[in-house]
Amino acid sequence: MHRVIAIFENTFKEGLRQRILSLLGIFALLLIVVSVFLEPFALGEAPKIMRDFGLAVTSLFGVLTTIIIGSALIHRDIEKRTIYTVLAKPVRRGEVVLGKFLGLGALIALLVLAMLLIHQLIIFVQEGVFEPSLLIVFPFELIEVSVILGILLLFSSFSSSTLTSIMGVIFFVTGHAMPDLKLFAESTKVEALKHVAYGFYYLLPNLSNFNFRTDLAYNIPLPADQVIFSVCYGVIYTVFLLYVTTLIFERREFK
Amino acid sequence: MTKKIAIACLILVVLLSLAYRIDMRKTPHELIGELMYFPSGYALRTLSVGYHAPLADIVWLRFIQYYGEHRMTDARFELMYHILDILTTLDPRFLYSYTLGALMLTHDAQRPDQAEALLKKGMYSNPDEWRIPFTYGFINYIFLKEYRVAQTYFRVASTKPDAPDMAKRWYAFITYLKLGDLKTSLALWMDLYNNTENPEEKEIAAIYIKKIKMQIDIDFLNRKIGEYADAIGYPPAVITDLVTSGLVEAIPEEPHGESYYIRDGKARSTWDRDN
Repeated sequence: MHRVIAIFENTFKEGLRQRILSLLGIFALLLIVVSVFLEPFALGEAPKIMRDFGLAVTSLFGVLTTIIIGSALIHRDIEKRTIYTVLAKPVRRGEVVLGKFLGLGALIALLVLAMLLIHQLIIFVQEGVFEPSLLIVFPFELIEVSVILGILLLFSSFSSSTLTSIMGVIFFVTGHAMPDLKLFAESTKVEALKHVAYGFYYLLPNLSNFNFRTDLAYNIPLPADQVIFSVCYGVIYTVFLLYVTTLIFERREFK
Repeated sequence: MTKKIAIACLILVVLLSLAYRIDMRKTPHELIGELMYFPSGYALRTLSVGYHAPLADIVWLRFIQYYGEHRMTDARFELMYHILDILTTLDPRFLYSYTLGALMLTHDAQRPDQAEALLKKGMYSNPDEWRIPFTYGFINYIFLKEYRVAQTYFRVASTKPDAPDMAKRWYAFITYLKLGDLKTSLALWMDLYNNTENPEEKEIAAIYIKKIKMQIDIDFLNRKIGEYADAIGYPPAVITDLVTSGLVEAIPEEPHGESYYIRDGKARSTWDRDN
């Protein structure tokens, strides 16, 4: 376990060195600018737009940071040849994968949480009240990021960093288009296409399962069963991705 | 180094002037005309990668721009329903896009049929929301004079979970009292004015409140002009004759800040003449 913690710490510090926390400043500035300029143009809907905008930018910054850093997570070690040093020690490859996943995951969690708190602060400055119910979005953002990070690590284990980042974007986009894929599967008259569409629908990660942003912005209570199923789905999907990544990574030869 | 900074600044100035020139070539009509090429809301929803609510907010801001631009110029709102339809597909819970949109479609675009379609879509997507059927009843009562339809939708609104007294009051009022008189309309607009937080809805309500108050005043003054003519034998020459004769205590204040006058034996408002 201490080996995983060592890799976790290393990945976390490496991420910090890339100054991703400076994103927080950009985020705060964006929200302040939007909140100042929005009011006269929004026709009474500025509070709603501020909530939607804040949650969307938080999510987008989280996902983009994950894709940009996550796609190079293993490749950087291979390119810099530091992976040889790591693997020369009594550390299992699965532990490397897990440590890197937890390290970057923690960093993104910190980033997302800080952005959500800044969002709360700006809502408070504008309206004189906090809206803590919006913070419920945090675990779901984290699960979405975990699944995307799992996908990135999976592709990192056998392909280039460019391909990994492209696949990350593709999975992010298709992951949110899953309800449309289901709609297509339900409505198509071609039987073979129906099966293929359903196959992809159930096999590919359905990221829309973690998107409760709109419900929270409207203060709509989340259905407990849906929340539980979504959390379980996300956790198990991530574990599955990390497991497959480890299997591939263990068989990879470094020359 | 200074030379390099100067070159960078020069390039920046060229870029800014180019951007400005491109912008100058576009009229506001051209910019808003882009809305015509908005694909359907369903297509946009798919393309929004889960960010459909903020995308709906952007459409809302464009809608306000479109509304303001046409209100100030040609008062033509052909794309209003199209934009609202996209907006409500992207975010089916965006309440004011239904209620305010329906009022604008009826009041500004003169398309109550599209307002009804929008509100029906809203009722389908938000079955527990009272404001949408209430607005449906409101439009049928005020604009379309379809009192039975209005009664039905006020009843629907009054049965919704968070329906305020206003919805229940209006259902009872229309069921048991007279339909279609000015005072009833005035009270309905006043209720809408007092119960909405949206400034644009308030503004539309205020326009009608003033218009109805003016009409009530004119009806009152015309009755008094008739009484004056019956008593004296000819109609008053000026409106203040009604005060001098003791038929009215004072001429009511014109709600728009204008004044009442008499022409061809009838009371009129200078606001009516100017608008």
